[in-house]
Amino acid sequence: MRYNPRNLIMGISLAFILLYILAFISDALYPSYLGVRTLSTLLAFKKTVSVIPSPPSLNNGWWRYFGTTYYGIALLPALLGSLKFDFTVMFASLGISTLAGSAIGFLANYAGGAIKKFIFYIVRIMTTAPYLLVMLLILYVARPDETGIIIAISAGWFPFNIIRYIELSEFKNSKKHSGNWWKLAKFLPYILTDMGAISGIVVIITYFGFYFKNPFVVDIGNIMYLGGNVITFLTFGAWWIAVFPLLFITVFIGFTTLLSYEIKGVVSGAEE
Amino acid sequence: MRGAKVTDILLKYFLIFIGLTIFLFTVYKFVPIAVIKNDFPGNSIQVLGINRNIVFQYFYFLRSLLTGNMGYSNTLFYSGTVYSAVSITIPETLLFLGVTFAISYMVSYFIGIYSGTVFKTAKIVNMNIFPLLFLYLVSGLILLAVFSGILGWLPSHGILSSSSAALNGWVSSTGSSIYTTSPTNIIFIDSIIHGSSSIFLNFLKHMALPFFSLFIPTTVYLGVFISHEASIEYNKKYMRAGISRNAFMDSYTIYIKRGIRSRIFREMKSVFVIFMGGMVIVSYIFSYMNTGEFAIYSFLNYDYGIMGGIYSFFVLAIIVIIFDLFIDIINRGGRNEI
Repeated sequence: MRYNPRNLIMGISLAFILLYILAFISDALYPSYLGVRTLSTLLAFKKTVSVIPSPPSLNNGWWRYFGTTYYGIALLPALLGSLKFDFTVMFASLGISTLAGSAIGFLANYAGGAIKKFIFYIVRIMTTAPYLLVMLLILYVARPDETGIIIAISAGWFPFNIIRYIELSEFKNSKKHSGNWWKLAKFLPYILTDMGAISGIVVIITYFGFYFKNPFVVDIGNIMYLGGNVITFLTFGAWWIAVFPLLFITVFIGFTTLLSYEIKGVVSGAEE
Repeated sequence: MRGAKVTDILLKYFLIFIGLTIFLFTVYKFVPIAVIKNDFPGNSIQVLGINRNIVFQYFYFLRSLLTGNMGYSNTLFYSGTVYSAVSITIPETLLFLGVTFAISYMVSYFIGIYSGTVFKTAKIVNMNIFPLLFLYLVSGLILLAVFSGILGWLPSHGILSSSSAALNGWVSSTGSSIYTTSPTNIIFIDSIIHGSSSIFLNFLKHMALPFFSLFIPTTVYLGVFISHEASIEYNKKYMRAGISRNAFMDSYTIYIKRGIRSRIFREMKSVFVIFMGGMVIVSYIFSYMNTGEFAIYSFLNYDYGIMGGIYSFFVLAIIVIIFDLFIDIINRGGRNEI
């Protein structure tokens, strides 16, 4: 039997992605596995009396593995718990932007002519400025809570899905590779990359401090922010308070990108 | 856009510019008038023509955008007119943006061409560009933690240290971490004009971490892209045949560079937009005096920030439009298809 490294990479990537999704489902259904009753505030993860971060330790319980951050919040359980907020926003934004982008892309293709050109013009305008700033501008109007962040990310992201939908609709290949399933297979890598990229954007937005409703929202960006106090401790050498949260979300983004990359390779290989 | 006339390209970007102002006006109309009034003390809000009909209001808004008459900003970053905030920060923004992007491009070009022709990386599929934005946050915070926090080699925030700035009359502080210098308001150039090596070195030390936070992800992404494109060109039949017959006299890389030029230019437009987003993130992490940082603080302050946010958004978008316009003009002969 020949060993195929691509299958191994895809298998490992998928396993990691599923682990994150499993943690997200567990957060939503059974948060007590983290030793807390609620995931509404980061203060539920406060484990020490001192507000000064303590370094990672392999002794005295699994919650110390990543150390604690400002307020004595245990990092590892807080990071696991943060998937509830981050993935809810990510999946909702991903769903809305994909549906809206595909619907408008379909309309553009169906109508053709001037309407298609007009839609392309709108897309070009929306993608002229850095999409992060487009999202922040819309977030300002939508107000910075969970729904506002979903609206902002969806509005900033859907133009890309319009372009993708139109490109895939116009995609022509051999008869063997031209069905709807094949088009879906070509769209799947985009969805996977978007899962990672949008998770990253949620973290960036909350890292900026854009969440007025709850300053202790259980979210990775906020774990690295906490009213701007984290950066102060970071400059005093408490590296773990930023490195572990970044590592935690980068692993997810990395594996979604890797899986997307490999699926793209499989699809391209099959076409050739 | 093969063979497009310059006038067609200019018209295209003019329409994009008009569309951008309509987009900003639409968003601005969703903001409660009471909040906008906060940025216009007294009767100065009349500059926006709020009592006129919506079409006239757009033209009033457009005039305000073009003249910079966007009221006052009162944020943690800056207190004063929006125009002065942007005019203070824009020289340093352009310098930082230009230097970092140019060096990233040059290094990635060199690495990409070399690795593409030597290691022949054609089989590597290009990376998706979207996760690049998050990498700017990762590189920024990791570099801060290591080189400022653990090692203590480099400063963690600001564009200059207040102690060194206080010793020089040509440097003045106008707020938290905001410095103006004479005559050009670009610290790098003014320190050379005044012969101040201490300010010059201090500025470079403060610039180091923001620079590398942007440089590393951009160079890696562009390097992989150029390597991939160079390898594809290298493996084309005409190139293989030419190299085997020594028809290019050992200067085949010139032909590879010509072959991939239009594809690189096209990709650079996408990279530049995300690079701008990265600059906003990095300037926020390091409190590095910058229009992007001003934009974030403006959006964060709901009551006194909207006009600052809109104007800094507009200015940064204009930089992208000018960059895209420039690329399209010099890439007129390029083919869109790969």
